[in-house]
Amino acid sequence: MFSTIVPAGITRSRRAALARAGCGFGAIAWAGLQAGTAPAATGPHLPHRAKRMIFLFMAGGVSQVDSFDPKPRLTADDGKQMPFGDLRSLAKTGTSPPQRVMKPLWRFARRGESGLWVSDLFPEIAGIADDLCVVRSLHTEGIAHGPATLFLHCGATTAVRPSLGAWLDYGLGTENTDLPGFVSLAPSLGNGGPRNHGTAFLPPIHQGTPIGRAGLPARESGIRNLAPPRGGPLAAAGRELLTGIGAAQAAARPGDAEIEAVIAAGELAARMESVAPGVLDPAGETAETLALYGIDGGPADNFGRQCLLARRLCEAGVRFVQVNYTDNSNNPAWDQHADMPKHALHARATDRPVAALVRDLKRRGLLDDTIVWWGSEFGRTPYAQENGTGRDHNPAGFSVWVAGGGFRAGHAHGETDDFGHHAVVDRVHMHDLHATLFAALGLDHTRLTFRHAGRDHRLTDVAGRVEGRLFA
Amino acid sequence: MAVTGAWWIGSATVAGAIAGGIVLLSPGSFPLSFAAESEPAVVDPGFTESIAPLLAARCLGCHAADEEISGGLRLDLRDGWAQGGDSGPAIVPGEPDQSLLIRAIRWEAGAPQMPPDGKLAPEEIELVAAWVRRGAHDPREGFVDPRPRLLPGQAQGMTAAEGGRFWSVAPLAAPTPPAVADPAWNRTPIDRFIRARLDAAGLRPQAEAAPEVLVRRISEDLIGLPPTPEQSDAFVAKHARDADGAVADLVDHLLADPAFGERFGRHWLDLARFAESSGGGRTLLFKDAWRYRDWVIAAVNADLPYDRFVVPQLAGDLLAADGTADPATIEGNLVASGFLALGPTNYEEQEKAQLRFDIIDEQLETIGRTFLGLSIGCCRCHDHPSDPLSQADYYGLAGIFASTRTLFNETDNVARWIARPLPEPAEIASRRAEIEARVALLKVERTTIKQEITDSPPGAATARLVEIEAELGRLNAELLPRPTAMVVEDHPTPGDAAIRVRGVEKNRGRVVPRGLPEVFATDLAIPAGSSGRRELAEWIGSRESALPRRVIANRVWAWLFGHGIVPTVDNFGASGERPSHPELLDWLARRFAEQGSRLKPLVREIVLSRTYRQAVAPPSEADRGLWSGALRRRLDAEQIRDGLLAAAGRLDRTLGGLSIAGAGEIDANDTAAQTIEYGYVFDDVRRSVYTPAFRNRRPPLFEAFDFADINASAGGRQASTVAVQALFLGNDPFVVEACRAVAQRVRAEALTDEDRLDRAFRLLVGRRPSAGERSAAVDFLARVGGEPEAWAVLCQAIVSSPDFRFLD
Repeated sequence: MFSTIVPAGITRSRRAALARAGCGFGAIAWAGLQAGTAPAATGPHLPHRAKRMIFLFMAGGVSQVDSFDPKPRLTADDGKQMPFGDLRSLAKTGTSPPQRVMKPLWRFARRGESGLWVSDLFPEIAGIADDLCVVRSLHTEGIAHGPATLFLHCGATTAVRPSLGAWLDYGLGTENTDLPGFVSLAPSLGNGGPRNHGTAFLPPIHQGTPIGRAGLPARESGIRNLAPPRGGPLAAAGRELLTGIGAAQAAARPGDAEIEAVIAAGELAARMESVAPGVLDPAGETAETLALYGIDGGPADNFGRQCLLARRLCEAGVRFVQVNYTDNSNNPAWDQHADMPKHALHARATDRPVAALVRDLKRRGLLDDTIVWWGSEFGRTPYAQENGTGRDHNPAGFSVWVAGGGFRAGHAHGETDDFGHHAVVDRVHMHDLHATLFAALGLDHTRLTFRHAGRDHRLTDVAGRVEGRLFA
Repeated sequence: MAVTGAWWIGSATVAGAIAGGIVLLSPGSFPLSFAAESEPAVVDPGFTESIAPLLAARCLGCHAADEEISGGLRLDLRDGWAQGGDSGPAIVPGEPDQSLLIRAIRWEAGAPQMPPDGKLAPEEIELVAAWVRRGAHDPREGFVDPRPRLLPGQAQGMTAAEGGRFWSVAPLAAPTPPAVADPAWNRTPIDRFIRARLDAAGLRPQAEAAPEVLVRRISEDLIGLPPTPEQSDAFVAKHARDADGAVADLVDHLLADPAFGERFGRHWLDLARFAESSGGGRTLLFKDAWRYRDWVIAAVNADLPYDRFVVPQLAGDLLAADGTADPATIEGNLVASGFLALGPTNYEEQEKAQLRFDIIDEQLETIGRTFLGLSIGCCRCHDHPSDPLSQADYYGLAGIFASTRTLFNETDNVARWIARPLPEPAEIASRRAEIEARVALLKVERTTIKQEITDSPPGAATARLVEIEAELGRLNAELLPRPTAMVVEDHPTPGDAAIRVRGVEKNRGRVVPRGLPEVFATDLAIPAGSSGRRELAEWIGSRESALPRRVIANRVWAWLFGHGIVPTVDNFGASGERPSHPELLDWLARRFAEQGSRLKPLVREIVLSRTYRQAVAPPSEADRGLWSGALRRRLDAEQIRDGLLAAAGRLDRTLGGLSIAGAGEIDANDTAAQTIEYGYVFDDVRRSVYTPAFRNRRPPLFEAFDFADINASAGGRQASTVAVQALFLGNDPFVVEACRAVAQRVRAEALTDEDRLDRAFRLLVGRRPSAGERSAAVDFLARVGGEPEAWAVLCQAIVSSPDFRFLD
């Protein structure tokens, strides 16, 4: 009602149309819908290779010292009590008792031609080591899931901010005319829930469209309200009736841009109804492809379907797809406070589909301009939690990886200390990772801004540094 | 503190890694020997040879002139570290352990971790520490400008004196409604302000809207529901005889309807970022938030004067026991103070000092936007770039809220708000005491009997035990939990807050006295031992405070017209828009005060005006600033939902009450709260204001139709037009079922197709079909026949058509 947003990316003639219409956001959305797309606010700022991105969110916190960051000292000192500064204790009490060092539960080995270290936790991902750019020196904000998950997605632990996907959609617009530009597969309602794909103060059109939700099997998931309640001649006659009523109403108010916008949105909805089910349905995939993703009724079946769908959505022109490996609990998926061996369960569910996605994109020639980003909201401690058999949260140093989209392949960047606790060499903050991913997609994170409550906001707040050494 | 971190343990390897990873210094210039503590002090123990190159390699990239100076700290001159940056002097000569720079390069807890791109090698750290220990001799002379620097790209805002003359802050003017050429057009003084500007611009107002349009507009604006066809007919008939009288009667009727409080209360709930769960992080259910919602609705219906509406929301806990013994007033005051506690707090945040300041910041931002139309939040980190607000002003206000407790126990892993027991009627309280005493007695007897049974064979004792258990069961069932309200309370030892340099909680600057921003030139006169919250609340509510009065007068105007005299309803600062009719705004603010600062007379005055009653201008003539015609508006999410339920004959008009079943006393570590929120099925048919307001789960209709962001204070809704809305209206089971019910009703209430078409259009869009619409519908019926399902499809086509969403 009070919004007066004029995206810079729209053409002069559309600007003129808006000036004539002279009315707020409805008109802007209409302008976007004329092209069938969300309007891009800025378009790319920088030379870039990546056009789209898939984020594989491993909720709960994968242990870096059990997966991508080998630390021999953990084995050498296994069982010793040592004075680690436990961040949770420090944040709450300012002190930290000694902690028991716990060795990795999986064997590490050098993989591929690059010799990148990957543990036996991820045998399939180990097979694509030469495609990965592992950042071992990531650090972030937030020691608990809620704050850290929001920071990962929105760049703020508490303040209500737009999500990364909404910023991307706002900055780049969509590449297609029949589908949304930002899709989140099976998102959780927990740990910030919809805020992690929300728009906050960005225009609502940039909202992520959820497909399914955490806990709902992928084969039962779809876009809400995509299926018409009836078919047959009655439904067809109803569509014609709506067209007739709409035309009569438009004729009664010639030149009313808002009426035209409602009609155009209705037409886009009709296109989505006819196009989206085909994209969502993997029936046309070969048996070999289904097997590649682990879609065989086994433990990887569900996440395999989601990874395959991510590829199909990318092919259909969706700009950003987030695939969530999570649940609705307060201690999601990878959160092994008391039972590190349970990491194996989650690895069995995700390892094959993740590797398959990278392989599949590569063989289809899509990996060059598609970023695959794998990671958690934080890592885990190198010591046992409360002398048990699990590890606590560790935002001070952990590993994520990116593949494709112009990133260096078969490369490890940065280092943690001898125990894998703190990032110490070539540190990359989460803000830096956001800035770098945006740069890979052609966006300058300092210039992708939106004015709200009296100032220009951006995903990286007043921080963020593009880590150019990650680029090939 | 026993904080070494894993770092020291693995020092040798890490040093190797650093040396191998990034070349810091050539071996020649870098003596790899530790400076022993016994070493006698010398004039320049290698500053030039060892310390300077290290600074150059690892520090001066960010901490030198010509760079964007991080933290305001320069290390390229002696004066730079001596004077220090945001966090004070960086080096205390002779005291490495007290020197922030040393603590930072050691990465000690509580200090910044420097350099951020990788820790220095232990040998390097010891080298710098030894240099400090010996007196930190530094030969680099030069003057560092001690004045605080603005962030890059930031312009200096207004001074307080300039701000005092700024239009929104200056005292209210006392304008006289201007004379106009056509006085017969006017109905209220408002019309003279509007008409004078139209005349000056050579524009003519639109004629009065058609009565059936007017009745729908007034009804939707005042109570958020469409009139029934019968109410509409009655109004149209009366309007033909006496237009002004018909409008006045309708307005009086609607203002007396409790649904007025539901509608205008909902506007306020948007501003209060009202919700019934915390959302961010681990969502927790605000089990008592419904009481705040009901208080707002009741306060609007009772037409409380604005000060008596504002003060309890900011300081009700302090008023509670003040000069009244009326339990209802005490309860209302306590419940209203929940305003401050309803934010999207991340109770799970582990840095508890940070959490406290995040809550204070959220409270200030909400208060600033809601009552003052100012983005105070900007000043958490720096002076306001455009408005006359400084960082000191922010921390002057923050001190008031730092002297207020919002968390029950802030060190809890997952913290909680404060729930305060509400007063109970005397008979309930005495019955509660009676039950509690009896329960205690029975429990003692039970213990004794159980002991007896263990000692001797069962008999009469067992029978008595059964009786006791039965009675305990009955009593416990009667003993309902004591009602509580979400409240805040004053800190036992209120005090002033220190400026947080650049907004970083740990970076303490000077302490500033609590009070209003300087621009308001008012001393709150905070009594000793008080937070100052009550004094702040009273200033905001006062008729003498020009800015808050302009803000609320403009809000009422915008709620009725869909567009404010100041279009940026939440921003009355320099970056906001200027009022289109400044004299009218001040006149409204004064009129509001004259009529007891009550909402209803102001609403009445506006709705009776000619300005409000105009027809919608055609698109080519529509303007937002001069009101030469009404603006066509989009119905909001609640109007769409409630209107559809009303048309279907299904709307439950029950007022108020508990909204979330089972949201009792749930422990923060129990997942029951999340289970209720995430699994909630939105199937109620009550007015939308009562639909559970979860932060992480909204009804799909609310998401599709731009319900306000439930996490932040919002004075207006967006009006997007997206495909999701069409999918919702076309395919969602709620709409499909509602349309079937409308169709059933239409078929029962009218007999011919023609009458049924009239009825369907009137129920859904408040008018009969146009010729074009009628012919499309007749064609449709001819094709598919008049079966019930065909009528359902027809009703759904009306609902999916553009006009269903708009209000003329």
